[in-house]
Amino acid sequence: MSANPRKIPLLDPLQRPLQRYQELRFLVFFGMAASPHLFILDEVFSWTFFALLIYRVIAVFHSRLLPSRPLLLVLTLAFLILFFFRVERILGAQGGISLLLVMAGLKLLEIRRRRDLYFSVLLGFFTVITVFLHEDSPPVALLMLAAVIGMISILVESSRIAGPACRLFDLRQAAILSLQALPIALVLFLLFPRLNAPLWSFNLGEKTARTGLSDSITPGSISQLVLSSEVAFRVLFDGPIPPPRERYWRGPVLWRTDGLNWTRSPQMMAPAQEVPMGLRVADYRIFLQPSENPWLILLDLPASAPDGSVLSRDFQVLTQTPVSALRRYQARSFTSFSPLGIDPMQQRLGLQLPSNVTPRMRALVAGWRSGAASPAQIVQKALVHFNQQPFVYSLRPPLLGNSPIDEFLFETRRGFCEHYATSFTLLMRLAGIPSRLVTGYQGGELNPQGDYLLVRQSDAHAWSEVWLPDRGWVRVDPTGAVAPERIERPLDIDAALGEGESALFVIEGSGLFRAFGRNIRWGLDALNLSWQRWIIGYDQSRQRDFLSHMGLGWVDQRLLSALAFGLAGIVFLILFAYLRRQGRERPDPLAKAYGRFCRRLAGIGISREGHEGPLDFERRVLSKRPDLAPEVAPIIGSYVGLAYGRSSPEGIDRLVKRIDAFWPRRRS
Amino acid sequence: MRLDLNKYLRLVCPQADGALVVSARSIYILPTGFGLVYAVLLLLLLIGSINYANNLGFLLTFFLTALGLIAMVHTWRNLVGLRLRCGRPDPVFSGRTASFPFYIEATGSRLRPDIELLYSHIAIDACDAGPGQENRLNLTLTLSKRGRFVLDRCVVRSRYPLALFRAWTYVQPEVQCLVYPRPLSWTPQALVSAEADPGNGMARRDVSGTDYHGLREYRPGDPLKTIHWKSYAKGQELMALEFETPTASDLWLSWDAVPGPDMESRLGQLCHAVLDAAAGNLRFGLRLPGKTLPADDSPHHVDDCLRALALFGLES
Repeated sequence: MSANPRKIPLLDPLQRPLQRYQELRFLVFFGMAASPHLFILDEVFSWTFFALLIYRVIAVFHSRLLPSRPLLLVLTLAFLILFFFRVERILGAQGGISLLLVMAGLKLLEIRRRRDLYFSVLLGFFTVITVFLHEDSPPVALLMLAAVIGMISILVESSRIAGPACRLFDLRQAAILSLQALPIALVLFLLFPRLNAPLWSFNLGEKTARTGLSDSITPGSISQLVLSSEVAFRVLFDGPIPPPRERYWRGPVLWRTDGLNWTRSPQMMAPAQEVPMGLRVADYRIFLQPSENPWLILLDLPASAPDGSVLSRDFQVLTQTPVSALRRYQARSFTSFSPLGIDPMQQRLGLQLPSNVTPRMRALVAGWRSGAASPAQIVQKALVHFNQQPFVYSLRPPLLGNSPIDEFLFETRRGFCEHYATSFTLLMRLAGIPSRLVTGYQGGELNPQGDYLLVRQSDAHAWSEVWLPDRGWVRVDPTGAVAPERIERPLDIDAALGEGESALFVIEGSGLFRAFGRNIRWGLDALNLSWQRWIIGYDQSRQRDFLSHMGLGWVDQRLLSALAFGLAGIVFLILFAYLRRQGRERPDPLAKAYGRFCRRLAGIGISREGHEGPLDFERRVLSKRPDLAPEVAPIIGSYVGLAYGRSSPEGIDRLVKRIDAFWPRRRS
Repeated sequence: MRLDLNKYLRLVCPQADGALVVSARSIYILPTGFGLVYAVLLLLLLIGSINYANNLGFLLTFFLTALGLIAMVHTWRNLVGLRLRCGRPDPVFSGRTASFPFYIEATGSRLRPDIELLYSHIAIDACDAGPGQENRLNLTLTLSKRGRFVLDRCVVRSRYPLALFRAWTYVQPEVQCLVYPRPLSWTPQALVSAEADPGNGMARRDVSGTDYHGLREYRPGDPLKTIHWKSYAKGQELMALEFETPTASDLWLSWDAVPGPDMESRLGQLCHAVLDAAAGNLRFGLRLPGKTLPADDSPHHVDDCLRALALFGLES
């Protein structure tokens, strides 16, 4: 009967050409998402991308500038060739990201319809995650959040068929959707099982030199670090924070020296056999910034190695792979412990001498030995020597030649901690006392806003350990003999030569501004720590902690996936129920108010019968309680008027108010 | 044997008051092509995040996953509880566009953006439905076949907000549209000759000078000689014989008078003639094989004639 009728189709929204503002908005959000790559990627590619982006912005106003398809193909090929010529310089994931970004830039030139916008938004999401591979600071994360919400609003807008219902409709919808998505996302984030090992190991290709300790010392290597106000790590103590003189953070331990360089001993990197008995214990959590070094920093003396690391025989904490991402670990140290023994190997290494020992040095040590009854007294004499001779603590010591320790001890006498520590260690070895050089950090700034210690690269330090027969290995800090305040009081970064960032807050002669600046810095850093604790550093062990905190310690990895998806499902159902209720037809306010009125009368023993109309009910109420007439009569009167006669919103409002004020009491 | 899947479709049929109410169970929802691509992206993001143990990557992946799920609920919610009513379309001539109005009567208190109306897989119209505004979708179809066009099932669809999912429901409104034949112009000589030809169906006029038309109820004032006594004698009500006296301007549009050659073109030509006659305010009658519509000049007479032409040969 019905022959095939011809349909007049609606123009598919995805096929519609773009408005200028739509293009501009997308380009802005995409640019936001890609902007951190300017500082990450090979400059040729990041600048190519931004040049293409800017060209596309210009093309929004002059659409004839958009290249034709053949030209675009030629451009793509040209960039591919350029990429392969340059690829040796950019290895690994960075190369892939560069390629992706340039191709995304070319894709921008192709955007003409809403459909193109759609797929470009997906490309934008992908760009965001490539940024996260390199950048995880809160400001970048905020920028990415803004870009993602912006791109969601573009999805909302491009799918619209009718025009926007009101201004900023799509942005508002994007924000609403994002807010509703957040609970599910958080549940999944907290509970999704984390793996400790990667699925495949790709080299991220970004082994940039980082400031930090190294596994060897040459004079001057630490004084470079002192100029850096970069954060080395942050420490949260479970108990009281140890006093400043106990804040020695142990790093690499150096045994071998050629008189110029000090290096570690491979023999000593075997697992520790002996663990001392702790007299005083400190428990704490450390958030170690990426160092690209295969060791962890712990408070002296580490009691045990955190998960995934090994305690060596000289109490270094070694890891299998370099710390290339933020690392968080729970640790325990002894700030006071029973004497540590020495083994023959340590004895031999601790007395190893370089070839450039001069007679002057031997003479100096021989003088101490003759007047001392015990090794402890020799140590004491050496410290007195550093303290009483005109040694100067200096950040800019003069350059030293082939026999640096001799020159330092007898000629320049100006130096920094590594000068004092290396020369002291060598002098002790000359005196026949086994000794070793320890590098690490000393001190740390207490952040009162988060109650944690902030240790910067500028706190890098070197000290010495000597073995005394009755006391075992003892820490001796010869720098303290020269500059005691360096040990007692943390170095004030505001007063030091900062790297520029701290200079921002230094306003000469204004104590108030200085305190204000310091407070802001502390506040920002506390925020940073929470960010690292809960977002960046949320790994398997942190997840375990969280689970046991919630009483779910017994859940294993496999069950955890089920729990993650189960709980996310429950949250989803709750949201679903909420969304379903939202915007349903509201019951008539008039009927609701009348229902309330009847319930209140029922409360005093007069219930309306199902069949009873308002007027009959009124008659019955008034026969039982004539005293209620002044209230009941006008309510019933206006209800009847509104329900069966002319209804007006104002009338309903008045009646609702009147009913809300109606509280009949039982007759006493 | 072909399996008729249509049997299993959940259709939204008119309720007692004629409204089509989209219930939760009648809604179908599936991801769109874009939604599938989005899912692939999510998978890639997840693999990347796991591999690099990148927590911000996880956060983004799970956020976008949750966003997809929430968008699914929003798409579904956009349709559920929708109350539609299909209005009656005006008749059209074959080859012209009929418009079936769909009124969205109740939407709840929130806006339901982008409600689309599809007919046999093609989107025809879309609108934002919200409280306090006229929400109307027009299903416009070009109908080519003369007769009664019964609207098949339509699809009401929504892809809002992210077009990751499309939710749809089949509605089966019970409306039809009358399709008149396509008017075909023909040479006016034919019409003139039809009028002039004395032997062309006008024989009864020669017999009495009046046309017997039929019986009707007796009205006071009717001449006595017109009373049909026979039926009165049978105990029925008083009836009067009705005669029509054709005037000179009476026009008879007759099947035999139009040139043809086939049935459809005859109907088209008659349709054209009816429209011409109506435009000229003429009093005319229509004579088709098996059906005759007496001459009249009222507006509904035109409709009656067109309806007779539309349904000619289709309904007994």
